[in-house]
Amino acid sequence: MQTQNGYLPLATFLFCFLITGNVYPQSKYLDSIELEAQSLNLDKSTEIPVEELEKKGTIKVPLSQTGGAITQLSPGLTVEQFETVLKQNYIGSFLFYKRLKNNLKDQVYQYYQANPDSKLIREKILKLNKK
Amino acid sequence: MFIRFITLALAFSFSSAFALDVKLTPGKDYVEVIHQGKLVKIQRIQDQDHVLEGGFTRTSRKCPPFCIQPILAADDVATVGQVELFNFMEKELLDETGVLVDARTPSWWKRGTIPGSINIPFTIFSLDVDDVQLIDVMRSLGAKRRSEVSGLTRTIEGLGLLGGDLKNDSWDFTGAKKIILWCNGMWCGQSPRAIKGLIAIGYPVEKIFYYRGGMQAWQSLGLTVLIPE
Repeated sequence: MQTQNGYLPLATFLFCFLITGNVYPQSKYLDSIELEAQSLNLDKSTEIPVEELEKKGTIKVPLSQTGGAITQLSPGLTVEQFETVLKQNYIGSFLFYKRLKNNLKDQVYQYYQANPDSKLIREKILKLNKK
Repeated sequence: MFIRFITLALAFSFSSAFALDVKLTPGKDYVEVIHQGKLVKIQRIQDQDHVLEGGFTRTSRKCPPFCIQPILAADDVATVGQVELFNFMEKELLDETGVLVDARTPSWWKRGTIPGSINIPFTIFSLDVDDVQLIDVMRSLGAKRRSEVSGLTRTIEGLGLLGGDLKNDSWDFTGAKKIILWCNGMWCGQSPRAIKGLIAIGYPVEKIFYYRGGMQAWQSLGLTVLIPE
């Protein structure tokens, strides 16, 4: 019995060794990646600081509202109301809409009048942008 | 006739002058994404003699922790490349049915990110189920924290009724968005950890995607990188 117990410290050591060898603790992992991040430099050739975006001619708009997005554009909106609803609920589609030429914007509005379904309207905007 | 020829020649040279030599794909010069409410154009470096500089030129980092990751981050989670990512940006990201997640810690994110990404560090997914930070993050991914659910309801849901396939005791994934997660590349374990965390929470695996190439592949192709505010 004493002989068997004599193996206990060795077994405990081996168990601990195997455990720590196979599982990299999250705290140690975090320390390592933070250290690595400190020394990181990216290739500068493609970098754009976010604050530079406006200077490069991109459009600044409010962030998309989260939640409460309507799924159906109600019929009978004026062009201005239609654009406001689009801007408030579907910022991505609105940005693409803004880039369309006036005659294509008219097409979108007419399409909305015939079928006020947000999904179809957004697809229409994308399709016209690709032309 | 001569005037028509000149016009055509000018039109051709004009269009040639504006076509990119280094495109994303044969039919695509660039893609555009919304980043923090602003429109960003993603394209490649046009200088064909350009050679990459900076930290992503390094070949070796100590392993562990920076070990080579398997092609699959988890069972049933698809791995995607750049072209699939571009398509995702043009469709799901734009119509807000998808989210591109930079799963690295903020210190990496600040150094530069892929346009259109939001930063959700992988550590978030191991927080307690009632942690406000986790609940907020899950909400941004389209999942809702459930209030107490009765045993009867769970039993009915377990039969596949009441949309039970997309619910567990803690979360309702009915509105879960498609997510692509990424980190530094093949040697980075941050997004695989995030993916495992999401799966442990119960997020539908078919909605999770792994961009294994990460920032290293992104940089090596000379694609636009944003420095967040």
